Amino acid sequence: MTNLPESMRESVLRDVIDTAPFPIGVYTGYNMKIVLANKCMIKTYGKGPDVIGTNYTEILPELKNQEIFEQLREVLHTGRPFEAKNARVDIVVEGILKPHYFNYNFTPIFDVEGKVYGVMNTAAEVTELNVARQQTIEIEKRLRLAVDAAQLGTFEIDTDKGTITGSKRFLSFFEKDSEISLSDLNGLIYTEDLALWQDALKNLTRMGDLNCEIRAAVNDTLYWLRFSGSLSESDNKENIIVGIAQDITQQKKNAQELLQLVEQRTMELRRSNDDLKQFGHVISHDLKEPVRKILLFSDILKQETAKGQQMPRISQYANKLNKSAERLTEMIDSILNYSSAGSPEVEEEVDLNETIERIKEDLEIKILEKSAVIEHSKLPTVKGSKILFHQLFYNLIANSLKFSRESFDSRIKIQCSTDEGNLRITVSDNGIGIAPENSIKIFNAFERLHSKDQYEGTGLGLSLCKKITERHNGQLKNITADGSGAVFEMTFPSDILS
Amino acid sequence: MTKKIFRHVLLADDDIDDCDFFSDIFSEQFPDLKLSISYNGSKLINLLEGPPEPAADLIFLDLNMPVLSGPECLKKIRESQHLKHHVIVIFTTSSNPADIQRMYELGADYFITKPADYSKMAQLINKAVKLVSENDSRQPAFENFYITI
Repeated sequence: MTNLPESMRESVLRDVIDTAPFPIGVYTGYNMKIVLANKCMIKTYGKGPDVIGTNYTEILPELKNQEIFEQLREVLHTGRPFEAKNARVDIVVEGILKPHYFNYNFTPIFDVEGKVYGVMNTAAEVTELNVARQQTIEIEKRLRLAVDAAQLGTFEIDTDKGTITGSKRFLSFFEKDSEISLSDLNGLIYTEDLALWQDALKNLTRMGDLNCEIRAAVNDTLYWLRFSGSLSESDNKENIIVGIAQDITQQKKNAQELLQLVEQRTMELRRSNDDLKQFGHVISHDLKEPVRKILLFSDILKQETAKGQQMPRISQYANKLNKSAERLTEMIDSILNYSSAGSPEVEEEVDLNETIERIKEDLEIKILEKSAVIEHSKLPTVKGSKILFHQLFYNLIANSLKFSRESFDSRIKIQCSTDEGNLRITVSDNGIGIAPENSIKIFNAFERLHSKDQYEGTGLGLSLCKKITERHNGQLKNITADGSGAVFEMTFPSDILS
Repeated sequence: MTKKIFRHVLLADDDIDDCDFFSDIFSEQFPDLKLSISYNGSKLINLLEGPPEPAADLIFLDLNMPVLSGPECLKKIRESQHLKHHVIVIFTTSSNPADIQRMYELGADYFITKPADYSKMAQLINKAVKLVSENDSRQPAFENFYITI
């Protein structure tokens, strides 16, 4: 200051005070007339620019019961400075009463005679700091609630010193009251899990996180504990792991029980499935045997009566008997196919072109009878069961042949395309077609749309087809074509393509 | 090719009807051959192990039989020093691939599924006898094991 010319000193001083980034004010007299207030102080009052010359007590009536006036008068009276730290002061700013926090000083100013002339008020607002602190407290409270509710134990492990600071619950996991050292803890960990635990600690610096489930033996009982933690990020806490631990013994027990239950159920299911399969086998064998005999005897009867020609009706009966037995055989076979469609392996490579060619051979006689033409585009090789795919296409093609139009040559087309990655295969024909109202019904087991005299069949063919498609995670639909023939569409997910 | 001449054919089957069909067909097609029938497996083994005149050399064997089943008979025959060279044709209602595979592994020579048609049965028996007589007594390749018409 002494370097400045005297003429400038006062204006410099005034500027410094006026532009200082913290509030400065000077009050005199019992009513504390504001004789000086810098810009920052005027802003802090929140009562507009024209406050110089007014009384502090009048413009800030909200301070009346906040001990401020008393503090000021005390300074005026005694000449001893007053200091407040982090004090809450509620001030009306722009019409709204809000809490503010200040570190403020009331400093006495003396006149030449050494009498207190006034009080200087300086302050630093720490409201933001306080809000942050309150938030921290709030968050910590919630965290504590969560930790309590989840029955978590919290801990800090100092890996350098080998000490552990733990919450009460953490210590209770190990039946300790006050403290536990890292080596104590290592001693409690189940021998088989010790390596896992030590690896987890070792890898912490590399992985950033501690995550492990270990067993600890406390008073001869094994407990499952889950540790989660990470290295502390605080400045003075190097090599300290902070984290939570949880007793998961019950969880583990439940999971184990669930697993056992699932295993047991699976076994029961498998057994009952095997029983069913066995049952199906026995039924088929035991049912088929007598039917085979009926076929054989009726066959002989047919031949014998045909030789004689004297008993035309007997011959006719023998024929009918034979036909019925044939139908029964077919029926037993298809029920057996249907019930076993769920079981075969579906991991084989199936070249569908080969499948179709085989079916053409199997159906050679019928194809000739109907003068049928079976066309197919190049079909893919898929992942699935050879037998099932054979049955699937066999039934669809045999159906097309069966339900052909009289006086029309049967034409059957098998086409394939990929649609959004899905494999789509259609089998279409120029036969009698399926009425739209029946397009869903036909997939029901034992559903028949025609009498047995008209078209033979068991009513299981299409339901078997549907079951086979579903077994390969696909769908089978009947698309009603415009008046001519039937179209069956199969869609399989893309992963069926090998 | 030297044709093998059979003197004695054995059938082991507990199904009397099938035995009748077989016997009818057999005597019609091979009137010179002797056919003996056992209604269960243990009778077959007794017959084989007893004093045989003339010795049996071709055996038709059913699978499901009381007392001693087909597979058990087959095992016994293949394990026996003096019986193991017999030609064995499985004659069963089963067409189960697992059965076919198993019987091949146990050392049967051929496999016939009893048909539900009289004339087919005649053809199958005829074909089996022919195949056995034309081939040496070694087990055929698996693809020729299952006889169809």
